[in-house]
Amino acid sequence: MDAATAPVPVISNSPRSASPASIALGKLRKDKRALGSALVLVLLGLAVFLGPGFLQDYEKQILDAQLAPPSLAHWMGTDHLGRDVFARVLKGGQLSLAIGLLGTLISVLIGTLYGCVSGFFNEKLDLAMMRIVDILYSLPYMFLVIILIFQFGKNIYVLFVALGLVQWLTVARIVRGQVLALKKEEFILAARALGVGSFRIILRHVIPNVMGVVIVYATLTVPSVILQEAFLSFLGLNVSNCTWGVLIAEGKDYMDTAWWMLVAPGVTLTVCLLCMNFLGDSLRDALDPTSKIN
Amino acid sequence: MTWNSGYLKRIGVRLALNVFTLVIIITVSFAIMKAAPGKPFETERDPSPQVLEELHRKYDFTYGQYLKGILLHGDFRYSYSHRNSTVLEIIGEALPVSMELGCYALLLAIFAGLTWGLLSAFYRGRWFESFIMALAMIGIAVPNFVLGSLLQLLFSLRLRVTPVAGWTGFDSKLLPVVTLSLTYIAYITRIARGSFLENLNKDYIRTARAKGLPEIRILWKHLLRNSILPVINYLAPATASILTGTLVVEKIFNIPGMGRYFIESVFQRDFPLALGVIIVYSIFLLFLNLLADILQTFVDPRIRMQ
Amino acid sequence: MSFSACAILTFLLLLQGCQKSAGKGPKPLAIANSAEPASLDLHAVTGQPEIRIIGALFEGLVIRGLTDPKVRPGAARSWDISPDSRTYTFHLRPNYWSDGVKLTSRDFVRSWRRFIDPATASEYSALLKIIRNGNPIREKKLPPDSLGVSAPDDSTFIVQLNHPVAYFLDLCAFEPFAPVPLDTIAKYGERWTLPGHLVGNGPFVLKGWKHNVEIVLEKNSRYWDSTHVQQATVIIKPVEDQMTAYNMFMNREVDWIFNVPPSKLEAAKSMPQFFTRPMFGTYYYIVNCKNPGYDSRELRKALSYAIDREQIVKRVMKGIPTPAHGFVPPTPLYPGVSMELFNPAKAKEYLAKAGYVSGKQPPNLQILYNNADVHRDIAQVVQRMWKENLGLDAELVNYEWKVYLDNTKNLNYRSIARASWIGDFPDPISFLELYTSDNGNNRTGYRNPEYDKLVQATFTIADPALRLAKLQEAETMLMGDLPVFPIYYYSLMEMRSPKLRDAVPNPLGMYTWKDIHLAP
Repeated sequence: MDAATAPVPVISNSPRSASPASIALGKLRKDKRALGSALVLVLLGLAVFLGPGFLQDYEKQILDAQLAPPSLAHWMGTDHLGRDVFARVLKGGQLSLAIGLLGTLISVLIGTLYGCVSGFFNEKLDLAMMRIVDILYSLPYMFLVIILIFQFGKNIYVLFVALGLVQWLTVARIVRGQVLALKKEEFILAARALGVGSFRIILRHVIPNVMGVVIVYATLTVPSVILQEAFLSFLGLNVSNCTWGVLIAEGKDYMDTAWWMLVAPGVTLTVCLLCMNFLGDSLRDALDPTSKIN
Repeated sequence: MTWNSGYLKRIGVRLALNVFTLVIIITVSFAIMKAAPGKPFETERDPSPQVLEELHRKYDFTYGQYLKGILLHGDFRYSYSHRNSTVLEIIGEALPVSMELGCYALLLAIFAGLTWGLLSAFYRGRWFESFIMALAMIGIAVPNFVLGSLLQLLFSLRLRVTPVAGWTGFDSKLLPVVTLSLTYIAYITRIARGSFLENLNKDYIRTARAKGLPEIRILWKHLLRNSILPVINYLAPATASILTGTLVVEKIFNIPGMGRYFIESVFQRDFPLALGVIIVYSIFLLFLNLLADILQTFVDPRIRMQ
Repeated sequence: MSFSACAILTFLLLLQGCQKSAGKGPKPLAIANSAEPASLDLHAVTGQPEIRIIGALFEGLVIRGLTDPKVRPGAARSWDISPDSRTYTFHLRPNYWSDGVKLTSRDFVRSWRRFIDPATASEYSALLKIIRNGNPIREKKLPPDSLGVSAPDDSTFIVQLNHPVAYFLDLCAFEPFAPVPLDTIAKYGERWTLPGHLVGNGPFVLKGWKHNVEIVLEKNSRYWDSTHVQQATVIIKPVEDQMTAYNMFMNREVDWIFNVPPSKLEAAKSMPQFFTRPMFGTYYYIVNCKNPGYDSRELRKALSYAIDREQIVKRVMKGIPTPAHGFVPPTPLYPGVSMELFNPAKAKEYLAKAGYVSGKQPPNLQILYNNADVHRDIAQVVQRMWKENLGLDAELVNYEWKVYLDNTKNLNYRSIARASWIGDFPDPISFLELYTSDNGNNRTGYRNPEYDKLVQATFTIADPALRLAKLQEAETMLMGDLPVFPIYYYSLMEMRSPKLRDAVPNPLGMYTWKDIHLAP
């Protein structure tokens, strides 16, 4: 739930062997759990982004059908205002997934760049930049997010930025660690000896080599960003009235009278997060040359 | 590693650095908060300009005054939203409750997390491991406001075995602690499992196996000590975040802790209270990080303090 | 794991056995209050959770009637009103503070001076502007001791008003008008409201206060009518989460809650513990009349006619409150207005009149509301009604409370915003005054000199019937201009133990503590 507490993947590889990507892919192909998860995620993504077009209007309120249980007309029942829960779960997925993916993308971009710069150049810069990260870590992150939302209003872009800005700290730490290790590797030293510019080395050699770690971390960040959106919805700081977080927060109040309002979005979210976590774990295993497939 | 003067000196430097960090945190928080829209004394019934003026005269403070008050006198000022109490009194009442809640939850999380991590490593590759890991992921995926409400409904309203709310007897503390710890149990289980699995292939374990020691003893005696580092690393930020994370649990179970003030003070624009809780939180986090680093050097002497 | 789950379950079942049985002696009355009180200084608070407790600790000159809309004697035994209705002379009964010191009319004089003193910064002090010199004192042009109140002897308290005020006695029953113990305040400063320090003259005294846990009140043996007070102890627990409060009530941890969460209304309303009465408040939408498009009365009428209040009340509020047919909630003796609530045909007609034909949209149609489930649900329903009845697409914008206040106050909202008002005293003026041009609470930008004149005129009319007629005229004008769209009148929606006795709200939904008690 918390940027500061998200587990930092323990990665002990230095992926510079001939073709780490192909080895990883080979491992992934044999991993049934990862394939299954990827399949579920693709299907979910298709349903979420294409589905609402085929279903009834997710905002249509049917007065006679408030809190109707699941039926053929409403696969997942209706909510307290008589709206189709299935349509809302799919529609809500659009924003939740978008927030998760874009929030992660922003954090990964900033974090990778920051981590590279911090780790690659001299020690004093590194110390200063990491101190900044430490300070930002010490601020209660929710406080930051809330103030940002107050300041710039409630729109999804603010949320992307707010959540991304908090998440990048961990990425920066991980990347910096990797870069510190990479810096002493022969191929970097060789590139330096050949007089290749620092930024070129970062772009050409460092970033491609930390990408694996970053991707793994990203698959673990997406769920945590989605959950943070849910937490904000619980606090009433939702950016839209139809995201998984809002649906769950609404459904929570009806759990004993209309269980489908909680179960429908809750199970969808859980399945989605499970698959992302499985995929992340498998990716981590696949990218780790010392690991065997279990 | 020994307790030589160099080591103590390094700790001293870290402490000094932490004070510096704290000042920066106060500065940043102060600036952000002043920039936030909305005014502390604005209410639904429009106060007259004279009243507002008086309130500002009474309660406003500048950055310089605040910093001086904090550093020289430890004066956290009066709260805006609880006008008869100082921030220090409010935190003084709420912090012990949050600490108690957090400690129980953390202890439960460490105990359950390590046990489950160990079990899943012990039963690696079998269905039981998948079962534990799936549970752990559900623990991560279920927001704790859902879990708390669910437990309340089940145990308080249906079974009627625990009170709905409060922080008095043992029975009232059970549900909040379980609710709070679940996410952390899940994380620790995962981290511990990863670390255990990594160490299982190491030579010393093979040696122990070769000696014919019973498996559970190997896990307990050799593996645990050598694999605990990532868990310790995780605990420092977790401990601090469990303090703020109590917010949801405090709301659902109506517990008089500090978590609520993290959000409430910002919502109310109660600047002194918000700054107060941020300072307390930061001190905790900085201190715990230092502690984690020291602990690390104990567990693994190869690691040096930076 | 399953083993440990079983173990926990067994353990819990064991727990049930050892749940403490209730202690002996009369049972305390446990109440869930909606928030931790910000203060118990009656001159420093405005919120309902605070006023509720203050009402138990302090008593004004008069108190609210039990069923009768008229007030009954409180600290004052009787009172005379001068023929011009501008001078009120109160005769105090022998009264004592809870520390045994005699309470005199001097205490009232000093208290009201403190109340209006700008240095006290009481947000309610605007209510005192009706007293002689009230306004100049608020504006710091005169010292507080020039207020038109006096105490010729220990038991006589005289108030001089600027003009006849029909609701003055009701105002005297309002909690901030009670006396405060100035000697105690002088002694303890900011900390006078702590248990042990606080001295009151109400039916209860403050016994304990643990922040965010509970406030304990005990019967005040020095209260003048203490034989009448049957409840020995009251425990007030601040519970912010409505669902938690409801669950606590269902689990019998409290005897009385003041809110039912919207998701539970349907289930709750058929329970015997459910209690509802009308309240003196209105839930409504305000329009930013300064913004282009919304300065048109036709457009406002179109939007208002397209809101089906009956449906909102039925769908969101489960049919409990009354749909609003005017801005002022039903008031004893006041006839009120009865506007047409919902008429899609007229709505379309007015929309066309305003110039929005063949799908043309008014600029920036938005509903701004602050975070709360009810506000969100109502906004969504209204959004849908405008869509279905007028083909208009409204955007929903929600803000957190302080930003919402800031934006509405500075007219920094595009078109429509949610609002609500609860009157402090039972008179239509407490509502109608809001939309005069210069009122600080007029967050619509509505300026109508004729309306101002009408409202102003009511201040000088001594004849009650004539005055109410004039007020009705003003309300009719307001409802013709529609800077506000009333939606429904608030109702009390409480859950209370069947043992709760004599907790009768007055017609405005306010309670008087001395009567309330729990049957054994």
